[in-house]
Amino acid sequence: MAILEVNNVKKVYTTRFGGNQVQALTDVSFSVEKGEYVAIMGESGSGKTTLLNILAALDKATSGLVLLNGKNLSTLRDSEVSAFRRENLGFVFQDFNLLDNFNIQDNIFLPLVLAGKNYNEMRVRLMPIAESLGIKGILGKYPYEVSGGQKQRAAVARALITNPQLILADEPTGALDSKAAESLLAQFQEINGAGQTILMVTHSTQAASRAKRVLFIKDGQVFHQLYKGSSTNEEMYQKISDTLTVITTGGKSREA
Amino acid sequence: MNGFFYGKLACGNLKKNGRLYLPYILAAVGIGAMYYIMVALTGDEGIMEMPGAVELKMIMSLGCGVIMVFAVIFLFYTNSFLMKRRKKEFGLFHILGMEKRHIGKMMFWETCIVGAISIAGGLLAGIILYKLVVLVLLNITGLEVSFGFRISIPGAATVAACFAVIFIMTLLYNLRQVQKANAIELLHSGSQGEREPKTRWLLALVGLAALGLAYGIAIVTEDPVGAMLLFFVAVLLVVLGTYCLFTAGSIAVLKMMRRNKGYYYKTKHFTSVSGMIYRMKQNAVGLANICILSTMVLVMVSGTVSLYIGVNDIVNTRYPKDFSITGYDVPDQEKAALKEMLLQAAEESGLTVGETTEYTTLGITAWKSGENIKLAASETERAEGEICIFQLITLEEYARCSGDQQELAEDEILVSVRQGEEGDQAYSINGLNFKIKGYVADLDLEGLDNNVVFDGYFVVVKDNQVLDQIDKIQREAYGDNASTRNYCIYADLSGEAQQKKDCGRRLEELIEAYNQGKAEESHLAARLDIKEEQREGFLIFCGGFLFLGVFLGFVFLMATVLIIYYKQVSEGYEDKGRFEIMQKVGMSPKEVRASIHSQVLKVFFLPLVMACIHLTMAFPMLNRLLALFNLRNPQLFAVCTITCVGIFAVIYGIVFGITAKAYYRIVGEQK
Repeated sequence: MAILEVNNVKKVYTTRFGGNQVQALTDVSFSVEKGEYVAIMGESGSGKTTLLNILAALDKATSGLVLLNGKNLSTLRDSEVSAFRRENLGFVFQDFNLLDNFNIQDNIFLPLVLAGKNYNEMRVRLMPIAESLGIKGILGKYPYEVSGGQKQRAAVARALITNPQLILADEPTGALDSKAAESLLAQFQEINGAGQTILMVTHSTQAASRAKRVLFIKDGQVFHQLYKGSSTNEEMYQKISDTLTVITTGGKSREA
Repeated sequence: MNGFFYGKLACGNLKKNGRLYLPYILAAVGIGAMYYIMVALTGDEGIMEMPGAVELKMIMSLGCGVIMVFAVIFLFYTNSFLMKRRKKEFGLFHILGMEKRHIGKMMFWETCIVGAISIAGGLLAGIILYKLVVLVLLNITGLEVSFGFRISIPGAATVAACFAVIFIMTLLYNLRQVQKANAIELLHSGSQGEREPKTRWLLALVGLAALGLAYGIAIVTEDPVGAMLLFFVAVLLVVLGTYCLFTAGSIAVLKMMRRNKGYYYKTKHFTSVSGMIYRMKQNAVGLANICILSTMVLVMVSGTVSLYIGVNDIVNTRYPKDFSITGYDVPDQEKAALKEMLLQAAEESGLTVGETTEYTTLGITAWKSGENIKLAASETERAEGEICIFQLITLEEYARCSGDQQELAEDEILVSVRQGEEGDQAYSINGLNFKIKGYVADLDLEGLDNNVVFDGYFVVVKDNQVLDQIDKIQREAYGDNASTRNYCIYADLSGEAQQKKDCGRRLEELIEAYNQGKAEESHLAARLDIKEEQREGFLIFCGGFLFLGVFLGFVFLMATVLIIYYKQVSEGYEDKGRFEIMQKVGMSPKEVRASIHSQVLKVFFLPLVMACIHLTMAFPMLNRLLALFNLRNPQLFAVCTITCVGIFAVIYGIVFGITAKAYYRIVGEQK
């Protein structure tokens, strides 16, 4: 069964001055099955971020339907949105979004504390996650005391600790050096291997080549998609590069 | 041409940063206006040459000094805040190719514009408000003077010069700041990772100890003269304690809360405790400033209001009757003459003499150590004993004044304790021994009640011979500084205030005429206090203090308001990022708002609560200080204090409400 269904989503912004209408998403449809690892690629201005915001219930589609676990996001009331996000979604951001005034452990606890869990339960949940992400040693440190890679792993731990239906990652390797990026992507594959569904928005061919499926967005539409199947990372990398070349040089749509 | 460019740039910058600069300029205008008014008042010949205005002038000069110092501190404080906020902007200019000297030029023009507006605005506001202020001052001091619309040129020049100097100093400070930093530092100065503050237990304990000591002094100190001296010690301790507690104490307490896992990991406490730790780190000094300023405002205003309202109390205590005449060492046969002159003067002024009290008393200062009473005591005797004042009267006078008929032997006395120890069996005055036959309850002699500073005893001796004996001892002991034997007449006169004053003048003339042709030593020496005149004098004095208290209260209040505003604005900019992250992680806007609101509320009302605690603890001491001014009315003072606190709290609340709006506007702004 599909965990996430996106049907004919359209998003139109009206600019603040002049009232011009800007179409960010024209018509987007796709679905994500449980246990999938999907990457969405596209150039700046292609509508990636808008799509992610809509999936995260931070923004609402102008028309179309987004179903998460069968629940229509557009029917959520404002008061339910935050709790819904907390319970069903985990977020990993490009710039980590850790709070400076909490240490790593408290940053990871934040969604649980908001959900009203008690301290012992939080500890129990944290330990295996911290172990597998290799951040056990830095739990007491503050974000400004650790490296970018460690920050991002802490952010992943924060996303995982609520056992979300879906992890949404927005350019998770964008602010990392190549080594840290490599290790984070390995981490993602491991998590996905354990059954976690991941949806990642990225620019990076390297990052996308690890996903099981890659969607390409251009001008507010799903332009193309690639399945990894049994390809190696390198083969996948090559395929994605080819596709991007076709997209940027203006080739016609072709189905894989 | 080039200058024109920088001027234009500076204008644009100021406009762009209007939210920061407008309050700064307004405050500068406000302080400038107040400073001008003070300086102009001090130099106003029409007012300052009024009789009784000498004290007023002194009080006003004091005010000038306070405002001056305050203006410097305050403008520097706000300026440094502005600089902090604008460093990023300067960094950007630098990156875009402006050299530091160009930025310097731009800052020069900015300072010129801000300075010119502030000084011009301040003077204009000051000149306009001056008349109003003078009216208020004349009204509360009861001075009568006609005056036109005057502009004090020297006053304006002083203000302009002072503020110009202050603005130049801030410019130099700012230039140095920019000179020191490099572009990258400037660009990123807003977003440096904040380190978690360390717990400084020692400082917290020092703060606690200082505050405890100060409170102890305030509560325990009995002696008003000591209180005056210790008051300043206590004030310094309170200031020290407040700073320590706000900076170190608050963080220590918050960290203790954080260590309590069960408490800390609750939705309600989690974000607010950790948020508060950072907030306190950044704002502790500002909050301590607010706390101290608030306390100062409250003490000053409530004290001066009490004094002003209590003027009648004060005057009535010191001058129980319309006329108080004190004749120094008046021989018995001349007492009648003095009284006769009073009657004559009253008659000539068309007044009728009402109730009259008269008695002769000898007041001596001595050190009392148990039953041993020493005049002109040595250092060691002074250290052992308690300084006190003995008022001696004869049995005959006592019987006449109180109606109480008693018998006394040569070596027997009656004692009435005004303030001091009861229960002694005998007194030995410099070796002259007396048995205390008994204690009489309340010897209510008018006019003798105004000594509250030292312990006081009334002693009734058998007759004039005994009194002479003691007088001789004290004259030998003190020599030229010996007390005189005072013949006191207190009389009520019914008539107009002006008639009473005329009567006073007439009496002085009569005494002078009486002394005509007599040798210097045998002159009749007397002092005359007319209640009416004293009341006027006190009114000027207390009214002047009230005026200054309220005036400075306004200045401090303005500063408090501005600090609160800037705190809110700077917090807003810093919380904006945090606010966004929390929302992304799954906190609803409502929860974020509630959390931030509770923090902001705590942070901003903490100084007020602390100020109230300070005030409560200082209350006994302030009461004793007011007693030095002869105001012994704790109820009145309590009512005044509570009213002042109430009004202040309301203003504080309103300011908080307005600034909170500015805060939420910043936090809620979308990118």
